[in-house]
Amino acid sequence: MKKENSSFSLVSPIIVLVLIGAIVTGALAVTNKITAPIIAEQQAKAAEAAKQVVLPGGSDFAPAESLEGLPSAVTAVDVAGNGAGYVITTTTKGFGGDIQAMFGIDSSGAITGSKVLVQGETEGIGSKVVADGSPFQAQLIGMTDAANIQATSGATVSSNAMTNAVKAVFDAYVILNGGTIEAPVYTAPANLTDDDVSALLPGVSSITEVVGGKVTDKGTVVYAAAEGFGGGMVNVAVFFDESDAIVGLVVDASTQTPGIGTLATEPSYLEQFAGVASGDAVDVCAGATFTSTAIKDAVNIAIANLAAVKVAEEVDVSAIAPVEPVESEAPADLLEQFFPGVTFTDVPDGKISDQGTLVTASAQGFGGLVKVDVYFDDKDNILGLSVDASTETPGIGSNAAESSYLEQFAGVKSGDDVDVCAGATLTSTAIKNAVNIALENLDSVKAGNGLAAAPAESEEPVESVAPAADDVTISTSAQGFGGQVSITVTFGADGAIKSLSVDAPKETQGIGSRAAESSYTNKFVGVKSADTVDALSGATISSTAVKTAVNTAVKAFKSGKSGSVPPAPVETAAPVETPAPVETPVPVETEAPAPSEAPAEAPAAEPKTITASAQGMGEVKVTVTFDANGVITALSVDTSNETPGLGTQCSESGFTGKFIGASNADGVDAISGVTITSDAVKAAVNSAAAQFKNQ
Amino acid sequence: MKENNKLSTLTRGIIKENPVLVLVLGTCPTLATSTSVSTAIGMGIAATIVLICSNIFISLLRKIIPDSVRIPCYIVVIAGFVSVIQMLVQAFFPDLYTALGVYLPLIVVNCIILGRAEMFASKHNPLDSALDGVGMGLGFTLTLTLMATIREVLGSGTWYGIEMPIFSTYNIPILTKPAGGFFVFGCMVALVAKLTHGKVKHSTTGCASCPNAEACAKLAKEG
Amino acid sequence: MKLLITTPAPHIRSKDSTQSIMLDVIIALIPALVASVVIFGIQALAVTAVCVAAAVFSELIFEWATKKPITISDLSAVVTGLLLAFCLPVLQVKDLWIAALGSVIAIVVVKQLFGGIGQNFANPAITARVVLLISFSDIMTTWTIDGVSASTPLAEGAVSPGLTGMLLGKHAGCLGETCAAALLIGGIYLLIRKVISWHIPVAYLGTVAIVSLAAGQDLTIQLLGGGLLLGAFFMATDYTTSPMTNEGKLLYGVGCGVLTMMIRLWGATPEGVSYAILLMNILTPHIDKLTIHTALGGDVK
Repeated sequence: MKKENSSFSLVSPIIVLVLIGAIVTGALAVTNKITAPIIAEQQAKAAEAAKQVVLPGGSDFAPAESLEGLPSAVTAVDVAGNGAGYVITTTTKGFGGDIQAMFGIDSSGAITGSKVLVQGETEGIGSKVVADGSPFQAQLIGMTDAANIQATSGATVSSNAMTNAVKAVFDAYVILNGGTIEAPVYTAPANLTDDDVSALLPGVSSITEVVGGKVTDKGTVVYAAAEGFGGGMVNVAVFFDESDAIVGLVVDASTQTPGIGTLATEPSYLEQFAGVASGDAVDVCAGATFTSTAIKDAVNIAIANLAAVKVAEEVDVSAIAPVEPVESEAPADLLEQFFPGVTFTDVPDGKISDQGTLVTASAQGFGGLVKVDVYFDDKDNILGLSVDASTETPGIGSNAAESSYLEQFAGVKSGDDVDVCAGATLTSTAIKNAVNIALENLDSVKAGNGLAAAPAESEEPVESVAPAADDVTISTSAQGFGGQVSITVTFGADGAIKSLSVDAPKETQGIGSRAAESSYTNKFVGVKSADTVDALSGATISSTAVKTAVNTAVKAFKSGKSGSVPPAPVETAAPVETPAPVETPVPVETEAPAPSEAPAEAPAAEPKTITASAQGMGEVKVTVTFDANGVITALSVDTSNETPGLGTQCSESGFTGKFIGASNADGVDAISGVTITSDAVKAAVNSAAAQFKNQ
Repeated sequence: MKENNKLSTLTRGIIKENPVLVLVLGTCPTLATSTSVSTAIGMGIAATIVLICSNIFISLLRKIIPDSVRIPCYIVVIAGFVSVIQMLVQAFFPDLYTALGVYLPLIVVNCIILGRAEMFASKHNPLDSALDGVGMGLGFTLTLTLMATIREVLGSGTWYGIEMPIFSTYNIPILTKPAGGFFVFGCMVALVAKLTHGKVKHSTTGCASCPNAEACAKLAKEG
Repeated sequence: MKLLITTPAPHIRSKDSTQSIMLDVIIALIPALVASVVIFGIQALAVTAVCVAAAVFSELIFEWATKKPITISDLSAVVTGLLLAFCLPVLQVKDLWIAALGSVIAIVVVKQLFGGIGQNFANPAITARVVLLISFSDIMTTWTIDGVSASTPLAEGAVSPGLTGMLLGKHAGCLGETCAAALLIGGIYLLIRKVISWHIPVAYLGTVAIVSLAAGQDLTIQLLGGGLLLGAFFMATDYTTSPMTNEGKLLYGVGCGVLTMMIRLWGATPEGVSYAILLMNILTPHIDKLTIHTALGGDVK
């Protein structure tokens, strides 16, 4: 009995276990058979539904054939079978790891929706960006390019990751539709000065600013940039000598962590790049991995672009948009200080009284026009200056606006009596020139006649070919920015231009007026048509007027006319009137830096005043007046709901004046420290511009 | 008498021998799924179904399963039931499936189910086991729901997704996080201890004071 | 029957009582309070008042409800309320309820539920601050000064106010953290009055300084910024939650310093003092075990 029991007790557990296992497995198999197809169908539906969330109206999604050629951030592309567009999945590096997101982009290239699939962002901070329906993602809908994306305050790294993803989506869209992405054009690092050029390329005497760098007689400077820590860009200028060997670097790592990433900008690290053939030859800087990797990548880009930069197109220094403009302050009002209690009368370009005179003059500095107020006493001696150098590089050019430098001008009889400010050559030269202009025009201002047209700073000899007897001279004009641009052009018998002179009194001083300078007009000498001459970057409208006028003259020449010729009929409506200057000195209106598409693109539109509003701290209302070409001629801003003293700065002419002459708010920077209200004004202006386009 | 027994079998799982708050079984899924009421109810129902089924099945097999392999057998049975339920939920209630996530398959190792199989179902007839399953499952679900109510209303200001009047503006988000979950759990254990104090006689020390004393095999051997 | 055990005479009596020690701490905190009002305005006073009132009130209610002796006169609740207030940014009026909530958590949950004064497992003010930080992260990380929100000097990419700026404290941060000079004065007062010993602050600050230098950080910002001075002098030195022996205190201070710098350098938040002190509080019993002196003739465990 016992034996039987023991053998049974050995075997029975095994039998029981096997039996139970078998029965349970059977039950599972049956259930699986029933439910598996249902589950598969559901998962397919869920995937389809997820894609439809981001691309409503899309259906029949199928993966794209290949991801070749697409930006590296793109991990999947699904094409909507019904032609509604694409669903593009991207992976970019966020704060807490990779962010995987899905974007829908329709057939017109506008984003229709977005959804973040995987993220590890900080709860309450970065999560504000990646949450469904977040303000960051809501702004993306309808965008066709990444230019206007606003980061979420306090969640910079997460916002940058999403912005990079969106940029990849737009690039992918272009490539999918058979286009190509332009190679990025790099700009100079903010801390690059002429002194760096002279230090790294000793003996240099001629420097020409070109697209993507500088060409000098002692070597080449190539700009490049790469993404460093936290998505911030590290801008680099790589200096090559005449034999194309690297002699040094200037790095702007202001977006990197102070004390950590900025270690990679120490001379002890940067000097390792001298003479290397590739950025990979230099080790990463210990403790500053991301930043130094960015520098190495940028160096590689610069090496690759060196040949292109050497033959690149020349660029006018003044056309380069100022990097990080400082808050635009009106130059300090020293009237009270110099002339307490005296009443002044406003005159063009200044103020007069029996105690003294104030003359406002300006001259071209490094990044733009530098405005100088020169205070004279009743004996015409200079008492002092105040300078608005907001277009100059903060910390470098702006040093020339410090009182320690300006007080040297007191009592001088000419701007040339004061030395340039070390390290701020261009800016202080501009101040000296402005002082000279003020001195020359002092009597004219006192008489109420304002400044005479500023003489060109660097008088290049006007090129012209020796006149011959059968030369034909034609004068005509064309509509410029502020008024008619008149030209007088002399053709040789073969139809080539022998000389060109341009009179553009109504163009913006220092900007459009450059189209009248010999540095530009000389380009027309020897050509037979203005089409071979490029427009002047930063003075598009004025230089296009010159070109138009020249072509009118060419046509007239070909039909045998000479002398004065009427301007070619213009399709667009009445010329633009620039608004009368306001009493407080207004920073010069900047034309949109990029060639502004707006005037050409808005045919036969009516000039209009449009109101729009956007949410700042409270509601911000703007009233924008556009001319027929969609260019803003007037802007008034209602900041009554904004913080007094802070947001209300946005309604002042110092800020609103920046919009004049542009066709949208893209070229205007927010006032530093008043981000919310400024951005609201910009958004409202863009909204008004959109309304204008749609009318 | 028998009626009383059956009723007490059914009802003691709700407070007196509440699996989560008195027996302290199954705290892991409790803390995880009690962040919102909808997840809590779903989890409770799923666990109850598994509990009832496995109790009945194991009770039916109790005479056949040898003592030495009883734990593996129980686990296979429970795992089988959970897998079946998981597939059914995924097919017919996909939203609940996504909400429960990984905690649905984790019911396999939910101590309540294995614990009751060991403590009760292996020693009683199927009907009693079923009643015990219902009672324990009910207790589990009620506890989950109560805890979820507290955590969701005070922590995110909603109940079952519906916005609550005051709490939607003034809420304490940490209650929806694990730290807050432990705190609420602790408070509820204290509350139940206070409520059952005196109703359940405990000797102060030794095995006899353990809530599982009645079903403990070791204690039964020692006499 | 309760036994009264006495040792034979002579007995030494000291003037110290819980109340007198707490009073000294309050006096030491007054410069920082004044500074916070000067820098952040009257709103700072409102936050402080709410915290202190809520702390005292919740202790009163709890002790009454649980029929324990009322101990609010020992001023420990006032100190907890003050310290918590100094850990908060300037709250808007609509957010003041979270300050009160923090006080209630500090007193009821961390202190009273564990047995009252002398029995808490971690510094109540620090724990409450951590709870608030997790719960209301966006309010707690919005630092405003003069009505404009700004980032603290510890944040990545922030501008350094320089040595005088850090000492005077006119930059964004939590109420009692910014004015380093006021905190140093308070700390020195506590040292003079022998309320705290030098071991913990020196070990803590020294470790932070050494690690900062090694990591190439700006020493002024690291030492004078964030809650470091407040934590080193007032919070880490809490009797209940710090080790008893001097060696233990040094070890504890070093541990706090290392953890603080690790969180500041590699963690997601710019401020590591709160978490560091909390973690070290929890380790205190173990440090005590390591460093306890055996009495003459006693057992070696």
